[in-house]
Parts: sequence; C-alpha cells; structure tokens
Amino acid sequence: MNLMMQQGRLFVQRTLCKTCGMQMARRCLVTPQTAQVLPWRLNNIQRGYHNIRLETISEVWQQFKKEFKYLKRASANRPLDPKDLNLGLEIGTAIFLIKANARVHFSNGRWYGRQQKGEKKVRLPAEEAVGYTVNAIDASGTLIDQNGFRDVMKLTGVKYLNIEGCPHIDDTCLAHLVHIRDSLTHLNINKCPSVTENGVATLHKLRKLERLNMSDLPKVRYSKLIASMLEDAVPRLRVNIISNLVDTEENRAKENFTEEDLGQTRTESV
Amino acid sequence: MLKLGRCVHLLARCTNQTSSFARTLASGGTDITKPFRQIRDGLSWTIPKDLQNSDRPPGEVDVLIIGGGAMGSSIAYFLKAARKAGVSVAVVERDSGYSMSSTVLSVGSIRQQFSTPENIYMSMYSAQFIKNVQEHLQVEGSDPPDLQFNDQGYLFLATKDKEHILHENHIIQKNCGAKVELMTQNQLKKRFPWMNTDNVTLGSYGLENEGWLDPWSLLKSFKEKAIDLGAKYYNAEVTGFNVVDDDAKPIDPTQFAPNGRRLNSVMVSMINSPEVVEVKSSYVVLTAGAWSGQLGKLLGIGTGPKEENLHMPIPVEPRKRYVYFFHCPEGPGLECPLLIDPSGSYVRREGFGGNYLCGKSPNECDEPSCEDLNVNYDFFDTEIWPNLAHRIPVMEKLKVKSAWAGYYDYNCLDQNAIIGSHPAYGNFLMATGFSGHGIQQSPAVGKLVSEKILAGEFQTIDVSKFGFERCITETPVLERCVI
Repeated sequence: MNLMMQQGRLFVQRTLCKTCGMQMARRCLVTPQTAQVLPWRLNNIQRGYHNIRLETISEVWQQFKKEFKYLKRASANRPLDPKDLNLGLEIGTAIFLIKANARVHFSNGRWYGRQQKGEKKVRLPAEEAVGYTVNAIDASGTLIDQNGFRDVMKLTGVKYLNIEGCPHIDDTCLAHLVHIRDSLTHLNINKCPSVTENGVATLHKLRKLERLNMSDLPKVRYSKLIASMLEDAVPRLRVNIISNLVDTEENRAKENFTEEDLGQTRTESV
Repeated sequence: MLKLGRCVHLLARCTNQTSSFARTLASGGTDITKPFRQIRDGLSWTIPKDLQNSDRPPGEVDVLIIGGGAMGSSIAYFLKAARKAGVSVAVVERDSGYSMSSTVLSVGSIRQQFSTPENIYMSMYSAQFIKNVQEHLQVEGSDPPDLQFNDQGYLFLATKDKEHILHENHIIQKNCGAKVELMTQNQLKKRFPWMNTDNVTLGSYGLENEGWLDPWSLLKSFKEKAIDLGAKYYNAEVTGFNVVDDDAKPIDPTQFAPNGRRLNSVMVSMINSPEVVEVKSSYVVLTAGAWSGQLGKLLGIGTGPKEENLHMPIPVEPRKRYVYFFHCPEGPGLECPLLIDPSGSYVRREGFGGNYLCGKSPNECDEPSCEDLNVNYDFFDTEIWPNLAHRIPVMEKLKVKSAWAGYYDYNCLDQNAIIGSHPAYGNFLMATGFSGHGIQQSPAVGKLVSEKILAGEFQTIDVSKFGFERCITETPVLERCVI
C-alpha cells in the first residue's frame, strides 16, 4: 500500500499491542473520507529482537533497586543486639535507634544521635547515660517499620515521639503505641505515607496525649473530622490541624525538649 | 529470526507435538513468561488441550477443595505458596457471587479473648498475618490489598455471677501471650463515661490484635493471590463421591486409625448443565461452611456402620444470625470498641459517620428458620435495643438504616472448629464448624491444613484437640466465650 499516493495527514502513535504488550507504532492516516489505522511494528521488533534484551536489563535493574531498598529497611529493623542490652533495656534500645539514624533524649537532659541531616552515624556514649531513662525519641525520616517499632515500645517513660515522614510507619505501628499510653504526651506523625484513618482512630487509647501533629497524611481521608473526634475522646488533646500553636510547640520540643517546654505547654492548654 | 521461528514451528508440527516454547518463538515471542506460568500451574500436564481454558475441572487434581469461601481460599493460597509447581489445587464453589456465603455476610471481627489456648494461638497467628498482608497477598502488578483492619479491641462485660469466668479466661489468655487487661467498675466508668456500668463488675479489654476488618477484601485477596499462584476456581457443585476400599481391613474403631479406605474421586456437576465431571484427587478438603453436614451425608458420614466410625454425622448445620446497621449521632464515636453486653448483644462502630453495627445470638429455643436470608426487624426491637439502650443511654435515640442476615456454620457439639481428617477416610480433611469465629481463624487454618497435607502433621499449632474424633466420642471442647 503506497501511502504517499493518498492524500491526508499521517499520524504515528506509540502504543502497546493489546495481545502481547510489546511496543508498536500505529500509523493513522486521516483523510477527509476515512480514517485508517495501520498497525506497524517498530523497527526493532520487525527484526525479531522484540526489545527483550533492553527490557530484561531494565527489569533486572528495577529488581535490584527493590532488593536494595528492602535490604536497607531490613538492616534498620534488626533485632536488638544482646550485647547492648547488657547495659539495660533503655541503653540497648537507644543504641538501636541511633543506628537507625534517630535521635534519643535521656532524662539527664542530653540529646544523642545525629545532629544534622546527612551526618555520619554516631555512637552512643553508653557510660554517660547509664541509669537514665529515655524521655524523647526523634525518629523522623528513618526506616523503622513495625518490627523495629515493637522493640521501641518496650520502653516506658517516653513522653515525646516524633515519627514524621517515616515511609514504613503504618496502622499497625500506631496500634502498637498502646504500650506507651501511660506516658506519651506529644506525638508527631506528619507526612507518614502509609498511615490511614483506621490507624489514626486507634490513637484514642493514648489517654495522656496532649499534642498531636497529623498534617499531610496522604492516605487519611476526612482528617479534620477524625481530629475533632479525637479531641472529643481524649481529654487535654489538641491537634495541629484544628488548633493553633501546636506546630510552634512541636518545633520547640524537637529542638530542646526540656521539662520546662512540656510544663509551658501544659499551662497553655488549660 | 522470523524464519527460524517458522522452522521450529514446522518441526514441532512434524513431530505432532506443539510445545509451548516453540509456539512462543513461532508467533514472534509474544509472552516469554507464559510457558513458565503454565509449568507453575501444575495442571497443564494433566488437562487435555481442548479443555485447557474451559470451565470444567480436570480429570485429575492433587487437592480438591470444596467451598471457596475464606477457609477454602486460604487453604488454596497456603498450599500454593508452599509448593508453587508441585501441587495442583482446584477449588469448587457453587455460588460465584458469594451471595449466601458466611464469609462476606460476617461482621469480620477478630479477637484473642477465648478460653481454649488453641483458639487464642490461631487468632494471634491470623492477626500477625493480617498485619503483614501486604507482604503475603500482594499480586504483582495490582494494588496492595487493603483489609481496613481497625485495631480497636473487644470489651467483654461481666456481671457479678459470671466474674470468675472472665478471671479464669484472663489467666489463660495472659499465659498464651495475648494483650488483654481487666478493668474494674470504677475504671470502666472513668474510661468509657458514655457507658452505664450499673450491674457490671468486671470488664476485659483487648489492647492489641483485636478489632474488625473487611471480610470481603480478605476473601478477594486470598482468591486473587491463589489464582495468581496457580490454583484454579471452578463454578460447580459437588454431588457425589466415589470410594475405593480395596485395602480396607477391619479395625478397632476406638483407635481412630485409618483402615485403608480412601476417597477415589469426586463427582462435580456443572451449574445449569446436566454434565457431571469425575475428578480424581489425592486429597479432598471440605470447607463448605454451613452446608458441610449435608455434604458429609453424601459420603455416608452419619449413615454408616459404627464399626467403621461412620455413624456420627458432621455436626455442622446452618444457623441464621441477623446484623443491624444503625445511625446514632450522639453515640460513643471513636472510643467504641466491640462491646459485648452480659446479655449477649454486641455493638461496634462502623466508619466515622456515627454508624454502628449490632447483633445478638438468639436463645436456643428462639432460633430462626434457615430457609432464606430474610431479616426479622422485630428481633432488634425486642431483644437488642433494650439491652443497648440500657448499656449505652445515648443509644435510646437511633435509627436502623439497614440489616442483613447470614449463616453461622454452627457446630452443634461445642461451637468450636473441626479441623483434621476423618477417621474412616485417610484423605478426607475437614475445616468447618467455626460457629461465628471463622474469619479470624482463616489464615491459621489455611496454614495448618496445608501443613497437614504436605507434611502429614500440624507444625505451627497443635490443633489435634479439634479433630473429628471428639465428635465420635461426644466429648465436647467447650468454649466459654461464645458470641
């Protein structure tokens, strides 16, 4: 068929074949009288190579990237080392958290862990912190998932928990928070992509919760409705998407986290 | 390259065998994974070519599962996940829309508050499975399964005379590792101010791994993953069995040892057609839910002689239960767990719009008839609403939006599961009689039955207590926490 002889405009579309999924080109000839569609394979396919080699390489590369991501996540959530636990549960869990790139605040008033983003991993000076309890945990941006979180929940006395932007924190992790319901007062779950509204609905079990940051949760529908239901259920709770000042208090606590910070927020809430 | 493909095709035609790989090359390499998928299916070697894509089950299959609800699909998934290419699994389900299946009509709740340790372990395993469902049941290329698991907890309430039962159960649950806490009347009043704690002295609140989920998504995820791994679902009905007893020898019926008689094949009749296919299978698993007793009678279980342990029927029959969906704008809201009144009524929150689901198991003498699934709204007005309004005073003002009815596969003996093989037939397994707690045990039962088939014994949890032998000796394993 000699297309040059017919008048009209020639369009070429790159599409996928419906039967085999391979790439092909469709030559559509639109004349004033008719519109013809002529399926035609791309040059490579016509030769019989089917682009398999290129696709196999890209598939292998995708698989490799997926495995690497899975490895990183698995290494961040390894079981606690028994050697670290010799010094006590608090120290052992703190070492685990620092290895996972989080910051830990002990009741001796000091933050341990990475100071700025991108800093090389630091070690916990265990001798300084023996005998003190973990007060606050800043695990924003880490790869902790439900297995690692279960180990963290064995701590008692954690007042401030920041898991902002963690990709693997999901509803089961929020359900695990029930183990620290007696001590948790500040919780930050901004920007967690795997949290849904069912997970946020379990936060009513945290009876001492005073401040909750839950903005930018992509999978939570009707977040303001759930926030107001939580404020009704939990006494003394204020949520950042419907109350003022919760975000500034959070920034202050993230930097310093002293008992005075907490004390100030408590008087302001009343 | 095209010429090479054509040569191979001609060669294959000459030898009168078209291997799928040659066909793949000849047609220009359409789908390179198709031959591997066919090998993985395990059925392509046994099905003749003209029946490969039909709706008829094949002539021979390794494991035939009767009933494609949550139990059957879970067993199919676990069998295929353990042995991808070595086991061919066929699931026969007569109701492709699942209109009367207990799975899709259930309230979909999961709890650890049982009094039998095996029940507690099975629920804990299933809860772990459900929490990690994205790793287990995700089909490549589709969205990850979303079971909408609400980890809200159960709250069992007890009056003064039943307090000791709750105490004893609590000790058993704590020993098994379940996270449950007991609350006194004052603690209940403080924690749930919307509840009337008049004659309630003790409450048992589940902290973790208890709540409710969407049973339809669970069934769909199991089924799609099982089909992706190579199990085949057939829309047909089982109407008969053929038994081979060439090696049958007389046995001592109290020993419950198989006597050499085996199920040879199953007669599967296609829907809306007089065609009946005889399917030979090594194992047959009965997971037909409420209709298991009926199907057992086809095998002679219940009508046979006592010497062969065939005198007791499978004690599973359908019992109708109603579920009512109502709207109560001033209700408890987020805090509402799955509350179980001492009278037996239960209520739980559904969604975030002030809607709730409730129900109650009627007394033995008031059991409704099971001919159809019509709802009796008077039951709500007389039996459930007074209890609800007494327990939660704000629920005096509510409006019933809709209701439905479903069947419990009720075990008349002791309302606990029957898992295991039948003593008379070595290759006939049963997983039925869950009496309202089937959904929460379906992943665990799937794993256990697949272990029984592949390894010959239960490896994860020892549920030999729930075998069929107790139905023959009539020794019930009573469960005190039945809803």
